[in-house]
Amino acid sequence: MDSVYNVIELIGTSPDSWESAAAAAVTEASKTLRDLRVAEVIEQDLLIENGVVVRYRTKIRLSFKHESGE
Amino acid sequence: MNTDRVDKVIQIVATSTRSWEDAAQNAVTEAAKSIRDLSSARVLEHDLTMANGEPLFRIKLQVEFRVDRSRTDGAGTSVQVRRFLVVANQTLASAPLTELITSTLTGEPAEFHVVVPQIAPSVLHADPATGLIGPGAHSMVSESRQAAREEGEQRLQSFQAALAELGHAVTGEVILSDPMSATRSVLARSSVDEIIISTLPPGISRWLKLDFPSRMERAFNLPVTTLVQD
Repeated sequence: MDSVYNVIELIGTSPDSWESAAAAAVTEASKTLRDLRVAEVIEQDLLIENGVVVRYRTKIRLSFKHESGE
Repeated sequence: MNTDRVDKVIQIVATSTRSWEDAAQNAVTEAAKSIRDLSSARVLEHDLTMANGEPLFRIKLQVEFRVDRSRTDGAGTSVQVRRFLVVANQTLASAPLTELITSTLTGEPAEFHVVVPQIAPSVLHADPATGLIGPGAHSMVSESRQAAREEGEQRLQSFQAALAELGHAVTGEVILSDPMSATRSVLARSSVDEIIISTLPPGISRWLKLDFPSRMERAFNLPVTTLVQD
């Protein structure tokens, strides 16, 4: 059977690491989306204040099966 | 408000034995020595290598920073600053250099960055008795490099402290290299308008003997002022 998937991008942030930034985005997404399988990391960056890293940001791409509502 | 600005984009690679986050902080710490207003960095690549059976986390960051001379002063008006790079080592603590910086900073909007080039051995010397490179040679080199770095850091810190007492802030760093390469590496991740070389008098100064002032002028295409100290 043919399938269709939705693809969305999310950015998570964390003061600790890129891992917890990614986890924050996935946790948030899982509240409203079913059947999340793989999140792909597509971009990472960080914010600096006075020479110190203050925030890690991870952008992830999530795909989930499109439900036609039938 | 003037929103025109020009930014330079550079890439930095740093490593850590702990994590990529730690490696990123190392890169940011290094860049922040000579770059003001660093606010974000993008991760271009990260990988993992093995060093002596331990993982070494490596990260490549891209940072952007302002290279134009516009700054906003306390009153919110845009001012043009002159940016000086001071290359000094043994003469760092001398009065003429302090005076030059102090009078410039009180007279016009300016920024100073100090680089202290410290020559440290990077070649392994053979044991004179045996003619062989002994097992202690590696640690001897790293110890003397460490000593050279500490000596430079102390010199720089007391210089910065002296200027701070006069109410002036300058950024600075020690680079274990000759003045030419040290200046090159600062200019690669920074932006300056003029170079000031502070050195010992002719006859004593190795820097003058090696003609660093005119070599720098040619290499970097920037005005170079030589401050000879007795």
